[in-house]
Order: sequence, then structure tokens, then C-alpha cells
Amino acid sequence: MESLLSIKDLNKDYGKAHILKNVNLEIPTGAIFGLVGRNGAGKTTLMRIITGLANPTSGTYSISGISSDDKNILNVRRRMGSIIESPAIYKNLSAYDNVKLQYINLGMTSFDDIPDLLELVDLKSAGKKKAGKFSLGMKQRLGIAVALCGKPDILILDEPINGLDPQGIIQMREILLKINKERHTTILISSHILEELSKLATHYAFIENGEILQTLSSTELTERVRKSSRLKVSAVDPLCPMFDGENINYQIEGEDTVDIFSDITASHIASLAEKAGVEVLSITENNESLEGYFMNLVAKKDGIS
Amino acid sequence: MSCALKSAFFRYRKTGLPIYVLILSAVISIAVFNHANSHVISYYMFARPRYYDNTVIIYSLYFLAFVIPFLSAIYCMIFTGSDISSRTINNKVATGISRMAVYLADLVFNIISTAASLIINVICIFVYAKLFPVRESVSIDARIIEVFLYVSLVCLAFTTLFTLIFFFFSNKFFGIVVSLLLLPCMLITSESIINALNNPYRYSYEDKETGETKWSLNPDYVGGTSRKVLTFLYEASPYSVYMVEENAISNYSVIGAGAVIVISTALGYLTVSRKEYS
Repeated sequence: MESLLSIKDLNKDYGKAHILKNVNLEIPTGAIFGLVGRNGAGKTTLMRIITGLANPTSGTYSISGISSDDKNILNVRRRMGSIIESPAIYKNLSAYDNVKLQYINLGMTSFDDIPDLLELVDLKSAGKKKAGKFSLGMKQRLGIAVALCGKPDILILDEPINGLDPQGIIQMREILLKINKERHTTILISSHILEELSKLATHYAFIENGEILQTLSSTELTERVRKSSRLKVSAVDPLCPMFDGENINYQIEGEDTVDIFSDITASHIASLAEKAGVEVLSITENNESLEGYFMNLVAKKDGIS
Repeated sequence: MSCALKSAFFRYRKTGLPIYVLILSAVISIAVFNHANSHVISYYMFARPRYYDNTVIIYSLYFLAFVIPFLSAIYCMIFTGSDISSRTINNKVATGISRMAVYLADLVFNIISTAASLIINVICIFVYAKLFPVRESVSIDARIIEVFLYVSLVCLAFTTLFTLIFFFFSNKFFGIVVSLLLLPCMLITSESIINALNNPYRYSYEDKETGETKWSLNPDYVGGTSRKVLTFLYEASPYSVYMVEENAISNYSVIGAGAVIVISTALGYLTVSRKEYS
């Protein structure tokens, strides 16, 4: 898949602190790319650099093939919408005027489709109301509307569901999925609520202490976090023909360890082991979530087993 | 640049700033005129200045050079400070409007607010002078135009300085505190400098034994290079005009205001191009 946003060897230092370390990322066109990391991992800094609010210490990024070193990057930014940390909206202006102002920022002269945009984020009825009187959820949705002005190719959303109630989270998810599906907008999104992110993202990057630990697609992630049984035996090799013979999905993790992904009972595993002449040392259920997967990844990086 | 200007114009209208400018200026002009009239009545009670008429108008204009910068700081806070504080400036930077264009558009509208305030004040003061006859004649002459241009230059210098301050601070309250403190600080500094410069070279005292008057060198006298530097600083200050004889406008004061405009804009360019927005 072609990359809409490509980041190469990006570094960011604040004094002696290395906030981003050789970040390399490829965001495929049309993807919902989830950026997963703890507080202070560097997610917001990375997004601020991509949106032009901060400058990298070294390294480059390109949007639609235009490098950040190229003067045309300013024109390409017109095809990008963003919310960094919280929606930047004028509280003394109405929702309609906030969106109109962003149209003017983009050099647009026709404002005919502002009502449609407000309808998309479910704010049509509140169009004339001052944004300062909005609830947090409404402000977030207005922020999305402002970010969507000019039908951008890519949306950069930093913690867009932070502080939202469950209904607000569902509403935001539906809006983002709709934007991605109907407008084919690529979305780079970060969130602490990993369970929610797992309902949206098609791709993931895990970031810790400014380093990208891993990037993978949602299919790959599903493969890795799917329900499995970890079997510890005296020897793995004699078991493999038995599993193959019964079409059991498995993955060898070591000389004495194998993960079984098929839904089979412990007694069935024990009988197969007996037939193969190997001793079963232990069987443990493994039902990892995105959160667990991320924590394991971080623990591995920190050298904690 | 045109996007930045159109955006700033839209925001300028929607913030209601023109209304604030109109109301604040009209209200302030009453106080300025009243202050100037009282000052002229008390100061020139016995001796009318030889050099010009329109004393009340001239003094009002000089007083505006002190008052309008206060209003300018408030306008800059409403227009620029709010944009930086609420991070709405991000929407412009992130959509590819050049940072310098954003800065200049804000500067233009801050200048418009300040200039409008000055003009409204001047018009109101002329109207009051006609409605409530003052000691001197009221007419537009070359002296008034000269003073008006000087006051405009000083206001412009302060507006460029305040725009820089509000772009520099991410919090508009820091910006307004620094801006408002700057004005009395400059006035106090000017007064301190003139007091230092007015120290006599020597002073007389009476000898207690002989009863004769003797002279002694004043240790507080500022001389040499220090005197030259302090004189330059004093004359370059916009507030020196109040304190010099006949309120003559110093060339250094004009140069100082011009230098503030150039340096503030240059520093503004550096600040805005290097600043990292949160």
C-alpha cells in the first residue's frame, strides 16, 4: 500500500532530553493508524512536528511525497487536518463561524457545505451556539469539523477521545469510521484508551521513550493477541506431526514451548502428547489484549521478563 | 498573506474589537481632555507659553502617547494574546499559512485598533475643545500635525512591541502584565534619568566658621561617557517629551521609536519562526 505520510530518521531534542529517537514510520493511504504509547512517550511531539507546530532536530518527513525540507510543504499542509491535545476553537465564536474561519484560513471562498460538515459531526442544530457553551464532547466534534475543513487527505488526531463519556466515545468512533470509509481520509490517531483504539485502527505503531518499538497491521496484531494455549512439554518436535495430522493451528516458540491457536481441550492435548511420547509440563491459557500486548512489548524493551 | 489577512479581518469583526475600540476610546478621551485642560489651567495660570497656541490640544496629544499604549496592550491581548493562549493559532500554522504571514496579519490589525483609538480620541478631544471653550485657540496648525505624527509613531512603536510580547508568551496574562508594567517602568526610568542628569556639577554651602559661601564638587554629578549615554537614553524615551522645556520633540525620540518598530518586527520574525506551538 502506498504511503501518504513517511517519516525518516526523525529526532527531536529539548536541551539534553531526547524526545524522539530515529523515528521511522510509513502511514499507508486510507489507513487508520493508531499510535500507542505511554504519557511522555513522544506521541504528541511527533504529531506536532508533522503538523508543523514544532521543528525536528534532525530527520525528515514527507506528506504525499513532498519532503518537509521542500517549501511546497506549506501547500501540502492544506490537505491535512489536525487536533493536537485538545481542539483549538474560538470559544466566543459559533460553531458555524469556527468552521467558516478555517475555510478562510484555507483560502476557500464558498461556504455552502459548512452545514453538511456540521451535520457529519452531529452539530448542525448547535451551529449558531457559541463554542464556549459546548460540552467537551461537542467541542471535540467541533474540533473534528474544523480539522475536516477542505476535505483533507489526512487527519492527525492526538487523544481525540480523552475525557469523553462512553456515549461520546462511541459517537466519535462512528464519526471517524465514517470519515475514513466515505471520504477515504487517512487518520493518524493516538489514544490512551487502547481498547477503543483497537476498534478503529487498521495499523499500529508502538512508541516508548521516543523510539518506535514495533509497527504492524491490525491483522498481524490480531494474530499475535489471539486466544491461545501455551504448552510446555519435554520436547516439541514429536508433537508437530500429531498437530499437523489433526489440522491444529500452532506456532513453535522454543524447544519445549508451543502456542496452540485452535480451540481444543486440555485433555485432547494431553492425549496427543501421550501418543507422541512426550511429557506435558504445563498448559496455560493466553488471552492477551492490545493493552497486554503493548505492556509486554515495553517490558521486553526494558528487559523485564 | 492574503489568507492570513482575511482570516484576521474575519476574527477582528467577530471578536467585537471595533466596538471595544470605539467605546474605550470615547470614554478615555473625556479623561484625557479633562486632564489636559486642568493641567493647562494650573500650569499656565500666569505665563502663557510663547511658542504655540492650542495648548490643551497639544498637551492632550502628548498625554495620548502615554494612554493609547495602555489601550494598545489591551487590544493586543484580545486579538493576539487570545489566539496564542487558546492555541487557535495552531489552526493557521498547521494549514500551511506561513508563520510570518500570521504575525504580520496580527500586527496589521493591532495597528488598526491602536490607530483607530488614537484617531477617535483626537476627534473627540477637538469636539470637546469646541464644545467647552478652553483658554487657547483651537485650530489645526503645523505644530499640531507635527505632534500628532510623533504621537502616532510612538503608539506604532508600542503596538509592534506589544505584538512581539504577546507572540513571545504562550499565556496572555503574562503578556498583559509585562506590557502594562513596561509603560510605568519606562516613565519611572525616564524620571530617574532626568533627576540624575539634573544633579549640579557643584553645589554651594555656608562655612559655619567664617559664614562665607563656598563651592564644592557634587559627587552625584553624572559626567563623561555616562552623561552622554544617559542623555541619549533619556532623549530616546517617548516620555522625555513631557519633561523637556516647551515639550520639544527630540530627534533621538523619533529615532528611538523607529528603532523599536524595526527591532520589534525583526525579533517578532525570529520569535514566530522559531517558536514551537503546543
